[in-house]
This record gives sequence, structure tokens and C-alpha cells, in this order.
Amino acid sequence: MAESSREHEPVQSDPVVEGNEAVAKREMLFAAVLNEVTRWQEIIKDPKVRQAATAALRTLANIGISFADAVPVAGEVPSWLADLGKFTDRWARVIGLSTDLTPDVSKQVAVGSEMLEAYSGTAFPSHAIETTLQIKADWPRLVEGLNRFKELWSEERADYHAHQPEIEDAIAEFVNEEAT
Amino acid sequence: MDKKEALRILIKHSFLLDKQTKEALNAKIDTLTAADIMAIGKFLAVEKKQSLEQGTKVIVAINLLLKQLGR
Repeated sequence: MAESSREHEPVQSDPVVEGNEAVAKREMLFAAVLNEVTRWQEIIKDPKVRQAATAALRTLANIGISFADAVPVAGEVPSWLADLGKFTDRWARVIGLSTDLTPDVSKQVAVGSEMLEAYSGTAFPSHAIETTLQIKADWPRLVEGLNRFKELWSEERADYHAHQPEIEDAIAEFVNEEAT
Repeated sequence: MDKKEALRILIKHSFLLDKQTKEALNAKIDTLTAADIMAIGKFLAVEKKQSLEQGTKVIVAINLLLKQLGR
């Protein structure tokens, strides 16, 4: 039996339906992006979250410097710059900045640990000592910030669960599940 | 539930809009056209769905991170 040639014809798409779908997708994308941007802006304003974010960035920077410090001679540059940052911090704070990557470590420990470099031909990653001490101080800040972050994200879910029927009904008025 | 009432509910439970914006929108609802109500309502409805889905994923990720941090 000969196959019908119509079986191999491409399906004719409806431009109106395609146009509506494209618009719906753009609207969803816009809503999602705006939601993300606004949500993150609000969350980062929280002092505990901001503190944890700073601690996390500081940890990453210190770990990077510690690895670099293991390189003899050349690796000393970031390590010494980090130590110098402890001395310039007081002036940086005047303009609202901070140059101290290890605020919980004293200048004496920071500079003193550099003395160990002399015994190892500058191969010893002395900055790892400051990094370890700072991470120990930052750990509870990171945990506190994450818990606060979770709280902020949970507020909307708590509101939703408390008013689920009316919210779902309201959403259904505007979003047709079958159409998507 | 009509669309105006649905819009009021979505505005009330929106975490995207601040208090001032919510009050301003609520004051204008009765003067909005059906097309405007549909556009704003659809946006808030889609945003709410996206936000709840995203929130679930974020909380799961944070719980995992906290578990790895030992807390």
C-alpha cells in the first residue's frame, strides 16, 4: 500500500499560538529575572547575610593567597600585601572600605608568621596560619548568615502555607495551567 | 473570585513589591482596565510561582551547605 504523501508533510504551525507562547515565555523570564534581582538585593541588605558574604569572600581570598605563598619568592608578594593591608585598614575605613583580610588576627601574628619564611627559603606558606585563624573566627558568622538567609527565603513560603487556598485561587485566575 | 479580588490577593502576598507600591496599586485597582488587571495579575501570578519554586531549591541547597558545615 502506498504511503500517503501527506504523512511526510511538515506540521503547519499556527503563528498566533506560537506568538502567544513566545510572549508567555518572555513574561515568565522577565518575572523570574526581576524576582531574582529584587530578592537578592533585599537579602544582601540584611546585616547578618552581608557579614557572612564578606566572610566568605575573605576566606576565598585568603585561601588563594595561602596557595600562592607556597611559591618561593614570587609568592611572598600577595602575602606581604595582605599583611600591609592590616596597616592601611584604618585609613581605608575612613572612606568606607576595608583592606584587612584577617581582621580577627593580630598584626603581631601576621608579621610574626612571616619570620618562618626565613627558615624555609620563603617556601613556607605562612599566610596559611592567618587564614586558618581567620576561618576559625569566620565559621560561626558563615553559619549565622546562612541561617538568616534561609529565614529570609522561608518567609514567603510561610506566608504561602498560611494562605495557600486564596493564593492558589488568585494565581489560577491569571495563569491557565492547561495553556502552558 | 473575580480578577480584581484575585489581583488584590496577589498584591497583598507579593514579596516583590514594597509597602508603598502595594498601597499605590491597591488605590488604583478600581480605575484599571480589564487588560491592565490581566497584565499586572499575570505578572504577579507568574512571579509568585517562580519565587516559590526558587525558594524551595534555595532552602534545600542551604540545608545541604549547613549540613556540610556541621551545623
